[in-house]
Amino acid sequence: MSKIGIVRDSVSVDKPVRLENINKIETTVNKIAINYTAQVNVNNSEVFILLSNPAPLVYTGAYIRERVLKWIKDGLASNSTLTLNDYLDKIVPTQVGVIGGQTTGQIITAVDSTAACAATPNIDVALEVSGGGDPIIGTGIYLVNGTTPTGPVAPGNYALAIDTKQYFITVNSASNISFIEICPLLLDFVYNLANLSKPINNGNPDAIAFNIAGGSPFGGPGIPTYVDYYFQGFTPSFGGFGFPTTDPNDIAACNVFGPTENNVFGLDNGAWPVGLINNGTTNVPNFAALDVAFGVKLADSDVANFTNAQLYISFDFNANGGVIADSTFVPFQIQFSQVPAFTGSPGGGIPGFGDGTATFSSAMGIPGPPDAFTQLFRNGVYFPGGSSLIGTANFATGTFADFDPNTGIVMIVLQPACL
Amino acid sequence: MSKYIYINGAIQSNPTNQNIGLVPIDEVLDFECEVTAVPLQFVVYFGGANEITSNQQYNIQVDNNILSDVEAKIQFDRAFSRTYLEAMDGVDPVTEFYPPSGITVTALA
Repeated sequence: MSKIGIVRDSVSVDKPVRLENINKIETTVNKIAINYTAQVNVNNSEVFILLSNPAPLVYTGAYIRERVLKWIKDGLASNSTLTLNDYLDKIVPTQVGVIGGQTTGQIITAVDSTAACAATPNIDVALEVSGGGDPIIGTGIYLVNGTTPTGPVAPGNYALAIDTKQYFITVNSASNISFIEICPLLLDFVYNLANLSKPINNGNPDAIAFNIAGGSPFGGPGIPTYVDYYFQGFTPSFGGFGFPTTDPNDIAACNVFGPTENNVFGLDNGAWPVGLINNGTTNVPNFAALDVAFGVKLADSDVANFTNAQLYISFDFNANGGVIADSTFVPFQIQFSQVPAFTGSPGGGIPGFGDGTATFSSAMGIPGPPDAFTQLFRNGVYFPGGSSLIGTANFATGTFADFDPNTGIVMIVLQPACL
Repeated sequence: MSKYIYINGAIQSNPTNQNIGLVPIDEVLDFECEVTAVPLQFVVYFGGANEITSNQQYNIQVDNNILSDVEAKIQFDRAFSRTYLEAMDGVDPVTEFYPPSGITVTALA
């Protein structure tokens, strides 16, 4: 029978730690890492003991290492199971064990909820929670470098950011969350498609436009492409037969080398929804009767730059009187074969986009391919000019950028002064 | 000699108790209730010299009329720790583990 020692964690659970076959021990003022496999890796039989250290200058990493080695030596020689806590004086182990399911995020100190919800957290942490959802009271939280724990979080109040959500939390002396409050979503811009009707001209503050793959989805008989669905009999402004430009590059979309009919508001533009409303010939939706709005949260509400901005979509903005705080905005993130495509979607997709399902299927009821949205949404997006609803950022003109449909995050601004 | 902890699904007095899984205690590196979308899983981690960590995941159902998820996590971890140390010190090849009142182990995921 193998020899073990005990480490009592912050909630008085006695955790066993194997004392035999240890390959490597690493100590800092806030951490003990015990490896049973020579190649150090989180998945390679590695046990962490995170420490609340009241006096790092006294209880140094070398001191802690010496105490751990003595605990192991005594434990191997003893007939009893010895407890590491008895060797660590005033140092308190907070979390003990293998790193299992965790969620990474960022924190920064905050005096209260208001400050936390307006803060920009930048200190990397991990939480002992996985599978999505909000952390609950009692969830362990610790500092990380990448995904490797480096120490407990000091007691106090913090802003916590996880993906697109932000929280005000209190961390107790055991490095567990003892209070949590979800911050309301603060958006810099809202683009309400209900305000869009033909003709949409430059300067319309709701005129967000997404580049679309005009020949998608490739779903087979009965499943029209984007162009088939909206532009039957379309006549280009230069005459003859042809198709609208649904995926214009930034040069054309923004009139960089002079006016072009392919620009966002031009006669040959077919991007969604501006180009469709202006130039569509069939199945053109009446957004005044639908409830679709997009939102944007800038990386910094006081800086006029869309880089790293997060896109959101709502299906109840108008139903809630156009009040952001009363509405539900979810990240505009397109995942392969996800149905519904967005939480809260009334038809699974976007009202006014195809038949409103997640597969852009036809009115004949023939389902499109599961990756229809992945095919349809390209990277290009046009943001009209305007001023932030919550900060000082002001855009005198429109902006043309590339966003990642998978995350809903703007990757790069291609034309900061677009139309 | 190999020793095991048998994981039972319900408290000891439950007449319809079922054994859900068995834990080889010599290989245990760690154990903990983890908050997941399930929402709770009890995970036992295994590993050792020159081994990749592996685990068993037990789905847990909490009666929130009796205790919260956080209380359930702490009570379950403490209960398993007691059983584990009892098994380590004892001579019996099998030690039975029963979850605390208000918690049911529903399946080995």
